[in-house]
Amino acid sequence: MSLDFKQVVDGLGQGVAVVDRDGAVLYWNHWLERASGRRAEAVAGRPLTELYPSLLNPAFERNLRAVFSLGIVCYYSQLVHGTLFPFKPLPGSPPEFDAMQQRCSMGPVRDRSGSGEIVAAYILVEDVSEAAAAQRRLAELAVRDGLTKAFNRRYLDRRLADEIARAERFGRPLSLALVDIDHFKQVNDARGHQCGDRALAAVSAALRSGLRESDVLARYGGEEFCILLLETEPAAALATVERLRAAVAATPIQATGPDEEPAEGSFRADPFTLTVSAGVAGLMPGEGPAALLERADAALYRAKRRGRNRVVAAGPEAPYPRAAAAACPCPSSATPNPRKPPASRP
Amino acid sequence: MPDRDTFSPLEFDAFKEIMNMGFGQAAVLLSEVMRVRTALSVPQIRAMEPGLVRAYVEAQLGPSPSYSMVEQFFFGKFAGRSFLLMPEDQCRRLGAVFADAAMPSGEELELGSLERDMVMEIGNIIIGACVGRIAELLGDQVGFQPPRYLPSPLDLGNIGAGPGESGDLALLFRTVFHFKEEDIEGQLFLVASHESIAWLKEAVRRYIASLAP
Repeated sequence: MSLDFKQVVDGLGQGVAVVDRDGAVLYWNHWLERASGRRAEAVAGRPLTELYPSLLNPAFERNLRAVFSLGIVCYYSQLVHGTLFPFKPLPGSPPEFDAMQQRCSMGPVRDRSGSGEIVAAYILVEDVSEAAAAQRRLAELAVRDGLTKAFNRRYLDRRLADEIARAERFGRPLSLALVDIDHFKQVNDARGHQCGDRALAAVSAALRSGLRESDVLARYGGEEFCILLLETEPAAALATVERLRAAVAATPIQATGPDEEPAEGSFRADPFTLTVSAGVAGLMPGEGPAALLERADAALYRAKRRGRNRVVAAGPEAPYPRAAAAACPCPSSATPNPRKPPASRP
Repeated sequence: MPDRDTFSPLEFDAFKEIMNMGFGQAAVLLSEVMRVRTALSVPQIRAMEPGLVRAYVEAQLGPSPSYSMVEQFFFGKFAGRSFLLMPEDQCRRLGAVFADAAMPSGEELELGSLERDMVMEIGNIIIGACVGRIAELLGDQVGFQPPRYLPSPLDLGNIGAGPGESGDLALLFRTVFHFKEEDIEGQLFLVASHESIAWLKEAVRRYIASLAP
């Protein structure tokens, strides 16, 4: 009995390509024709890297070498490397990605004669866009604050430690700002918590819009944000945060949401603005996350004491005696809680 | 300790020689494939009761940092289970060495997921090179199940036994791999299945016979 395996492979819900030792295409199944928009006849005999120059990357080349040299099956992680083939998403794919997300593996095809010689490599391509989108959404939920869309405290703790280690290792500057909304309690008390939530989201958006992609904005506490300014000297950080302060002050906040109906003529219906105070500290040699946060927090405290709606640079000295700092009711040793200052603070 | 019931002293010496050659060739192949200078230490070979494998592995790891593990079963006449163990901080550095420019920034991703995939990808190649070369030297061609990642802290659990594994003897190989320029290292353990020990012994006898003038 002679079996037509081509029919089986063409019926698969994933891509199957076979290339020879020079990377020229020997086989291209129906799924790949549909995903790539290229007919099998059009790609046959052509080098895969000529058809898709993005395949000239270290991971793909390493895997192909491993297939031919070691005769093993290799895996190409979507998470680590993104897409292998630059295919457009198939109809009905989630909107998160511009390109189809793929999980790929490749393995040896041996000579039929029984010599065991590896004459070709197969490449399996699976569309994992749905799973990747779900994973991305879950990952977002794990690191983002739902209300403000800023990163959450857990993410900040980890990232701050990583960035300090990186800055130390490569001798690069790093600055940190603590930003607190002025008189926020009055918003909640006078306008209600829904309005307070909108205000938090609006301030977060105003801060985010003035930052670079590489900077990190995190919700640090109730109405407090923390900003990590990577590769930034304290003087430049001070200028940036001053610009953010002005941006927040100029941001109108809608007092009512689309589904809320305030009493006619009530002042509560008018858009309003808020201000923020901030403390900025640049990382000093040998400094850890707790000490850096402490100095930024002390500067923020000074900004509040000097009348709010201002940015203050932290000094190089520890803000308060170590004994007092040790008494700080911190949730963890890495990140003291600045909203409950010790009694000995200036 | 060689198991005298399994291998004669000559057979055991020959077996060690084959393993030395296999791991040596694997190191050369790995350096070529990875484009990173790779060293594999002279393998240690132990025959022991399956119940003692876990304690042996734990003793080799010592009280040092947390380890992550890639586990992979291989099958053929030479069959068994492999464990690649790397300290957690070294796993993190793998990405910087082996991921290409397309690697996402990781801001929105749990870093653990990236490390997991990277360690599995690289671990799969290291295991494939070592097991594949040994099998080939003994005249076999092995297949592999997909790798499985076990995060730190490790539960070594029933590390000594494979699925449906029986028998009263485990043959264990250990090597330390080292990506020299990057100073990344880890340990690889192979546990031959009880069923394949008889074949290994036979393969060693064939090897000795092939050396006879």
